Amino acid sequence: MNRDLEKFIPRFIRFILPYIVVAIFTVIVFYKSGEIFWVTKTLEAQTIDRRNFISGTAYSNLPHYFRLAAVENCKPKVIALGSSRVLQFRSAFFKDSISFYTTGGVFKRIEQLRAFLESIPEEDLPKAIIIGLDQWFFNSRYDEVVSRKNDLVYNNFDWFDNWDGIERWQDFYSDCMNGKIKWSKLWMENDSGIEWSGISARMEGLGYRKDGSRSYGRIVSAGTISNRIKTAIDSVRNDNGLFRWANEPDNQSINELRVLLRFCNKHKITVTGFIPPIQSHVLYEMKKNQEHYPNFFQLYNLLYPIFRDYGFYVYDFTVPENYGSNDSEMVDAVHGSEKSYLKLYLHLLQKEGYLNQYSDSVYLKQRLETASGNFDVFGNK
Amino acid sequence: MLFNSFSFLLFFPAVTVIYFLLPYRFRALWLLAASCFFYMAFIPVYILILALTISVDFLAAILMEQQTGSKRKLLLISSLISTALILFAFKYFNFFNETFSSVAHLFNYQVPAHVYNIILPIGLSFHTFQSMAYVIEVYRGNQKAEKNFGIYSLYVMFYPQLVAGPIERPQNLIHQFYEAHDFNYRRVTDGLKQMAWGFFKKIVIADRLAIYVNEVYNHPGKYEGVTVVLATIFFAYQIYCDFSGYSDIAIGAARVMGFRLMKNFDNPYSSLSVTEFWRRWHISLSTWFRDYLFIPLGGSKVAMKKIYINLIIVFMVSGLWHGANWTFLVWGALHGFYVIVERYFGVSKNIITENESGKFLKNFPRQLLTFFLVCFAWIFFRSNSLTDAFIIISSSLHWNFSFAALNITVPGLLVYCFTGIFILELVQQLMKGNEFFSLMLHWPRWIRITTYHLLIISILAFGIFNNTSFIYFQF
Repeated sequence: MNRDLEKFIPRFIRFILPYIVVAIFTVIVFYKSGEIFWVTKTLEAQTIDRRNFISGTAYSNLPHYFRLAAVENCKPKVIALGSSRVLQFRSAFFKDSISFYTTGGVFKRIEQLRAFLESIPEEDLPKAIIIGLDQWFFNSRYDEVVSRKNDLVYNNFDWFDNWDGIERWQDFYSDCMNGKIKWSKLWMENDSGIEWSGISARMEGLGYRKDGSRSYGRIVSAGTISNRIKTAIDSVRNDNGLFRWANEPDNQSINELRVLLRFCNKHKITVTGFIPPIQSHVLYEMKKNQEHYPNFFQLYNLLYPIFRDYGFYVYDFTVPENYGSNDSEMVDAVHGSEKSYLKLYLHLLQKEGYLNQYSDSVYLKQRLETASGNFDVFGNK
Repeated sequence: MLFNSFSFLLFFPAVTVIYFLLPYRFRALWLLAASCFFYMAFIPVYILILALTISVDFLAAILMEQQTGSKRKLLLISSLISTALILFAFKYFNFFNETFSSVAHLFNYQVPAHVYNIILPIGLSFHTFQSMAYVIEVYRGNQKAEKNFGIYSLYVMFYPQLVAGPIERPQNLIHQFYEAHDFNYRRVTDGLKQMAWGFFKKIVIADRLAIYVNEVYNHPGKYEGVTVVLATIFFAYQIYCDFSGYSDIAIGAARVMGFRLMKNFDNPYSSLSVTEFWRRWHISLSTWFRDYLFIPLGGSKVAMKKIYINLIIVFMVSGLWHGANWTFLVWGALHGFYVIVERYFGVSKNIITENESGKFLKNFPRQLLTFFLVCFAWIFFRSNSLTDAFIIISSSLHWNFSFAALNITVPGLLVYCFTGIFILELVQQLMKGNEFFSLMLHWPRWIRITTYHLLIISILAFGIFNNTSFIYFQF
């Protein structure tokens, strides 16, 4: 062997060894805690084995193709389609024989919803779709928040699907130092019959259930709710975030909605649309600034004829009181709780007769009456 | 594949280890295969474009060598046009189409601008210029036409400098592919150190500065006064750390394997004039333009008026090389204007000698003025449009100083930014005139090792690991 090489190898190994040890340790922690995972294994646990497996990663988002793979796996008859504002629908809202899956949490634009639906193999398409139409989807300045580029690719299954989180190992160690991560919980296999996977799920009980819905765990508290509402009110006042001021509706999104509805109509999928709720203080602030939101309060009037063109209906649930809920059942400024959404769904059952074949409204009303808190009805099981 | 990606962390050691394990005769082939893989990690099919330019220039050079007179010139022109056409089709077609349509509109003609959504092949401007350099040098008789297609392909595709230079000359690089490079401790460790310093500049300094710069430049009119001025200064450092960081990684990676690539940056912000700045900034490109455009146009051996015209042409073409946008054209023209003014007043003579004489008090005001002029031009380079650039300039004039106004985006960002710039300047001052890290060889071993560990730990602790692309990749 070359003498220089003989000199280099031991020195180099000595130099990089500490970094390799730390790197291997980090990967083991991330893997064991479920922060990096194989999509197929998680899907098998959730949609085939139907185990109580809650997946909630702290340092990465759910891969967008996870939802497509889940739909292909469990072939639900009904799906909820939309942003994080459809994550509160539960399979327990439906009869046992009817499979339900909510696809929220990864889509942020109408064209992404349309592209997702078109990617489902024809034989796996659902019979009914409940679609959440976020008010900002139709705001002409929503581009500034979420790029219009439809970059969701559906044939992208890597060997380690959810590897992205490892790039945020700096945040992981910073959270460890700040005491946000408890080491004992990182290794916990299961707790009260639930398998927790991912650091958010293990630490906070925050993650996705087997029906795709979201368990908010311990992140919902009076303090966090009021902070988020305050942030939303500031956004309304300062032309920020989701509440950007806009004078015109976004025509391209309206066209995308038409394409989506036409697709459903062609494939005999019944669609029920709804405009999700907003907390009353935020809504009040928006009304005070309504000159900046000329389309927001007219959205229902804009969408209704479009839905009717394809034989479907859309409902306006912007005000929680309109379907019997209230602010105490909101988990933040723009997300209702599971209880709020059960009320919303019961309202839909009254209006949309076809949904009664999938759900038992008497049972759901009973469950609603016996629910103790303001947020959960069915728990994590 | 980005240098600052996890893939490269696996790719580089794998390629290097196999390179040294292979017998000499297979090494070039291995490097070519690795370079193809590296390029295809972006858009695989675009390798066909590269294959086309490589084939055309390879054949043109061989034929050119066999010809004399007008046939030789014809072959040169055909080769240059075919290479330039590819560059034009991908990079400039939409720009010229839109410009033509706008001009026609001025004269009341309605010519619709057909804009094609084409993704620019990564590093196209770099490897086309490298190919052009080869055929020109063969034409001039300074370089023999390469008969080995694999070696010529490797000259264009050598992965460390494939996507963002340095733009090599054939005389410097091709012969190195025939040389046997043994494993040399000093050379390998120097290369690794240079790579580490490049990563520090890119991941720790440039990407951190980018947060501040992007916030200001993507929202023209939102910020004013000192915030905008600071964002422009930060951009000057961001682009320097981003591009020179890339060059350090490229030069270091090549050095590990035994190849010597040309120096691309030489402490440019210490320049006493814009003319000197261009001798220290992106040296491989500025010398390309000098050798293959400025000198053929007449160089400095023509009448002064003609020199000025040539200078403005060269700098405007250089601007356009960076991107098909009016902002780059104005940036190039501004630099052309600066250099002409300096030439007129005789500022550019013996400038490097003066700068090296070490008279800090005498040099500092001139360095500051040069830095100001360069920063002013950077406004056009960074702005998303000419309108944005003018908004940025006018909002920077609303001088309303407050420390609170400086603190934008995330808390503590300013501390990171200033510390990064301070470390950069400190290291550059220490390294002045010396080979990279060679100064440290005189330090005690434990201090050296601690410094290397501190460098790595800083990259790991303060670096931004979200695969931010290098700015010059888009060119």
